[in-house]
Amino acid sequence: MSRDRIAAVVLLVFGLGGVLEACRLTIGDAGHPGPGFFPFWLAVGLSVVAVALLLARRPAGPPAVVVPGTRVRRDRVVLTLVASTLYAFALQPLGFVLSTILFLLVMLSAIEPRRWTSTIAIATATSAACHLLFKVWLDVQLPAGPWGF
Amino acid sequence: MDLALPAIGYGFSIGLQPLNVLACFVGVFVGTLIGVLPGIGPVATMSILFPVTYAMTPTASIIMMAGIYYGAMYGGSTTSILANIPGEAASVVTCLDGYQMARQGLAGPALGIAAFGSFIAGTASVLGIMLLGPPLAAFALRFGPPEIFALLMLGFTMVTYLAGASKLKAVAMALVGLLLATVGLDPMTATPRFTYGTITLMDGVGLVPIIMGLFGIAEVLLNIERGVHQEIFNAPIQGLLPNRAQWRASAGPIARGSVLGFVLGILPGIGSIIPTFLSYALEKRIARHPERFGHGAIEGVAGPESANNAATGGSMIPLLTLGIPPNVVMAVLLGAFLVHGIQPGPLLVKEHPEIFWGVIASMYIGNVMLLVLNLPLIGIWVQLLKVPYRVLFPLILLFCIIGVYTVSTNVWDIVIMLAFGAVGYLMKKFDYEPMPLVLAYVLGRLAEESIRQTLLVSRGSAAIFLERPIAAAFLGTAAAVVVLPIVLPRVRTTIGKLATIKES
Repeated sequence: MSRDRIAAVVLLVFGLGGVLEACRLTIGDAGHPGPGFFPFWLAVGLSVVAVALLLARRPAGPPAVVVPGTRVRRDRVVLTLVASTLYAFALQPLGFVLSTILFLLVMLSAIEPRRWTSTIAIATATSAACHLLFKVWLDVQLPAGPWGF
Repeated sequence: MDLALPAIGYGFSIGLQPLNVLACFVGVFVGTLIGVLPGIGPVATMSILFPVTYAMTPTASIIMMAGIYYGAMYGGSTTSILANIPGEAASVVTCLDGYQMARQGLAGPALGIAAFGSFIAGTASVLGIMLLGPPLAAFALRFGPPEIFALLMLGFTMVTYLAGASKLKAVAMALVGLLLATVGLDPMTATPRFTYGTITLMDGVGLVPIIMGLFGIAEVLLNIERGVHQEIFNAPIQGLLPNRAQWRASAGPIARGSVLGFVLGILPGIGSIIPTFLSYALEKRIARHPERFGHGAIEGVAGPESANNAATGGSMIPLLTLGIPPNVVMAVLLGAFLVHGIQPGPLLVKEHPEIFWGVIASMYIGNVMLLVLNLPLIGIWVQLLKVPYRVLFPLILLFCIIGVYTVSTNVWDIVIMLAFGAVGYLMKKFDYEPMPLVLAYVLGRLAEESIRQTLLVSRGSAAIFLERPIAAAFLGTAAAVVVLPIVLPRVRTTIGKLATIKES
């Protein structure tokens, strides 16, 4: 299945799901539109467009541009998303400073590993600087861990 | 005009208040900074600073947000000229001749003419807003729900038809955006929709997580996957002031770029990138020696750099007078208005003159600041380009996460942002553009309210759109946007055939 088809199927699932969900709300009619009226017709429209995309016979597009000498590192994308999600949930239990240090350690060593000493130094300094900038200076709400920072 | 003059004086009295000057300064400074740095654009930055504006007055926060946008346009040119990397998408064209000039030892004049061109164009577009804004707002006062809905339809049509390669994909994205906007409490009956009992979704999917995900996070993901090369032009920069011959060569391109950028900027869906390409193409076409382009022609820097700054000003018009953002940056700006409980639109000039005229005056002040600040500071910006990406990208990621968290102190908003980051990354891979989605999301509520009110008034009859001349005109224009590109080539070939028949 081509990439375009996959995307169209995803949109179709989204559209049909939207139609089903909108049906659980009051749709009403054109003269008395209810809460479900707008979402219902949008989802119907999306499903129709998705089917059109699915059926559209388009010439195979130009292949993805790959710059010679560079390697596409998809593992880094997945790692970044996983690390960021874990960071989000670590914020409140661990507090801002500690969780940020851990997060930056992972990210810095994932993108381009350097010596551990410099990585730890950058992570700690950045975390402390953000704490000062956002919490102390700008008075922004950041979660504190059990030890107060 | 007789009204505009005292009004702009009033605007300056607002814009020159110390706090507003400070906001303007912070805006243009941060804007230049992120304009210089590749990989992070004005949209992501404005979103990150969103929470900071809560504590400011509405005027100061809009001044700062606008400053980030046009500041980024200034900064983007520096990176293009010195590093051959567009610091900003709108500066892609500047790389062509700007970097060549730098290689020939003309980095100074290239940077200088980019700054002066931006200043002149920025100033001209402020004048344009001043003259066009109020009459347009007065006209828009006659709009009821049918007119608003018809205008939105025109906007959506323009966005999808100008957006990019596949119009069908753009329509799909717009529909997804409109659907996303329906999440949360129904605006008319307060029935919860698609919330699944969660509190996070009660107020709808947040604008900030969506925008930062689709633009900030997705951009970081795309960049760390590739491993970008850093290469900076490392020669001393001398003589920022262009000489007389360079000025003479640039005067025309700056003037044409300003007009082109301003007019195109007003149209929905254009943004500040397309005008730069058109300006470059225009200058190349009318140049006496077009072969010089691509080898360091100063016209190729002056025109596009003026065009992108003028477009910035032009795009403020639909937002300030109609309440309809023509591009994503203006959508974020609209968000900043809404956070302070102000709905920009035809009533803005009357109800909040301090914002309308204050922001316009501040844009002029900001342009002066940028010119005065940037030329001496170029050395510092060059140093900034040396921040290694392996540090820069984790930092951008961190700022996005902190930014979203501080808006709502809700961890789930970070998760929503990351999800949209993944979606934005995949959209890029599958050739879907985020622009129609975000615009549709921002305008979704207004679209739903206006269509439902229209239908209630007309008792379900769509004929109301044809009975009201302004609404009919908008829908007619939308139809023309769809039909003309299909019909025009055929008309042209038919005329061509007829001509050949006549000749033979």
